Amino acid sequence: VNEHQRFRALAAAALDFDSTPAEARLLADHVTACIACRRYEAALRADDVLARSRRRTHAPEAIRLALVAEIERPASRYVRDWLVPAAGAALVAIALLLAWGLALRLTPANVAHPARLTWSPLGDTSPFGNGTVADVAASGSRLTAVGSISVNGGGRVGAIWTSTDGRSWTKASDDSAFRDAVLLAVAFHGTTTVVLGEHWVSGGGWSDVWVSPGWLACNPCTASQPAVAWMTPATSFFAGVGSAQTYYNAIAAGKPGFVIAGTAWTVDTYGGSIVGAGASSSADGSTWTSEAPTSAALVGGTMGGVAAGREGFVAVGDIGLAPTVWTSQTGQSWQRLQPASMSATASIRDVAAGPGEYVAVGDDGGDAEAWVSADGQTWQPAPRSSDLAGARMMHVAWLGHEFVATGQTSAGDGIAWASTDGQSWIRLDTGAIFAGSPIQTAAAIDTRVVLFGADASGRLVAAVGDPSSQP
Amino acid sequence: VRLERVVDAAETHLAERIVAAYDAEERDLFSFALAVTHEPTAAEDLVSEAFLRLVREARAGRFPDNPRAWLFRVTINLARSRARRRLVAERWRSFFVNRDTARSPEDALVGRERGAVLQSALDALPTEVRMALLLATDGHSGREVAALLGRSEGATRTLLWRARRDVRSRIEAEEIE
Repeated sequence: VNEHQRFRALAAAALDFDSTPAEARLLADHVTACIACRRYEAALRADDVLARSRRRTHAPEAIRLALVAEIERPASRYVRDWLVPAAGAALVAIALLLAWGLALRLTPANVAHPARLTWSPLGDTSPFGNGTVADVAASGSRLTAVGSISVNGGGRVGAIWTSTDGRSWTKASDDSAFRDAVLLAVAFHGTTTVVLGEHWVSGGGWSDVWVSPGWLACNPCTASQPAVAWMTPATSFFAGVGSAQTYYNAIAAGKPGFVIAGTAWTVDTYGGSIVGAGASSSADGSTWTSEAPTSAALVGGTMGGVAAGREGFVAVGDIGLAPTVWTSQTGQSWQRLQPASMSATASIRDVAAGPGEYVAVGDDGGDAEAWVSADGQTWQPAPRSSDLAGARMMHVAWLGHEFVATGQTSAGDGIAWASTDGQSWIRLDTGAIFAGSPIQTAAAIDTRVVLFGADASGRLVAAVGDPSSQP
Repeated sequence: VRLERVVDAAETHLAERIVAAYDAEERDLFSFALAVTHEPTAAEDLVSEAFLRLVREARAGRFPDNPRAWLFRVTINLARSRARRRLVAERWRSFFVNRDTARSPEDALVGRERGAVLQSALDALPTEVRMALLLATDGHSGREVAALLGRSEGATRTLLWRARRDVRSRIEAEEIE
């Protein structure tokens, strides 16, 4: 990317995002030196003004009439509409409560069902500074959270935090490897840790991974420990200017090693378009092999999540916006299927694997939805319930004894659910902690569960769930 | 009787909020849906459904704090759901029809107007890219666009840059012609 292209991308970004001081300085410096770019920036602004002033069309009167008719429907009819289901739901709830009470007696005391946790905001968020957490995962007796922070002078730097109790967090001091990058996900395999991220430059970026052989063993984790060093992989993920570029969203680790999943895009053709799903695998986190996104299984697809389970790897996403599941034993060769049980209108966003099943999550028709499969091939939708209404499940994780799905309500509030089997989901009562703040990720350590989200301004919001009533 | 009055008052209050949301947002929402779908009937369906869902939400005691963001989010989801149902052939047919029409002598004349050129450039963008730019130029910040589309800020930045770059390329090409 030459200086002029970088300027143009920055100039465009400045129309929609706040420029960092460094970006503003670069814009100002370049615009005084380059007449062509000055004209381009002015043209972008003119296009923006033109687009903002484009003609708006009033909705047809028929919509107003339909709306008024709907409003004027007698309330009693609504009562009838929901009374029967509500009564049914109440009976089910009573039955569930009874079963729950029984389960409470039978469940070992040290296993905390997230639905029974008491939630409180994470007290000390200072280690996170102005950063946000994209993913958090447990390894042994420690949690590792990855994300990024804004740095003085502009740009972002990837960051890693650790905690042994979920409540006290420490920022790793050796994040210099992640300059101008954001970290998206983390996975562990054997003694190797792989972090998936994206080099973050104005107007674009490309995916990359960083590998550490000693991250799991370090304590504290400092730059002076060579074993902890984060290394770039032997395989380059930058396809080159003008080539289709794969952006990876998710990582999973199974018996054969690591798999990352995402979407390959053309970058220079008109408008940019999807080439196909991107899937790469690696035994050691350093040398990666990819199935071509133009292969029969992947072409036209986008992968949103990937999980490693008993039957191998399962990735989820869509092809031409139709919900799609991919399976692979090794992560090197993929088969695709579009289960009939997944409605054509559904969005399937993430998948997790427990000891006995895979659970995929997403939404359909404005309500959260989950699907369960024992083998990755045959999927069953979880029953609809009021707990799933008016929300989207964005991510799901297996926390050792429960699946926890996270996402947001239609009003933009953070929301999380717990399920032991992927079929029956209970909305977690996190109070007002995540008001206006979608929940991104969840992890558990011992009996404690931690949820991370971010508010509309990008500020980290986190909550800790403890089994006792006193946090 | 007193309880009925309370219920009536609550119903009236809800109705007023829904109608206020309709009056405030119908134009932007319908224009957005029209620009996304290219089809007035489809846009009407999307907007109608979005507002009917708002009624259901309100009746369920969940009137959104930010009706505008809520309505856009629902409309985006509905548009995506609708797009999933459409056949690939249909998508490409409408794309080619638009391109062919744009090249007709009549439209070449109209095409000299920048507004029409802009519209043509917008129409040619892929749906997701077009939605991002439409939202941005409807007054949503980049961060809000990311939230509405359910994408990361980095991805949205890229999406919007592609949108603006391609719109500019189209307009430049028209200006040269």
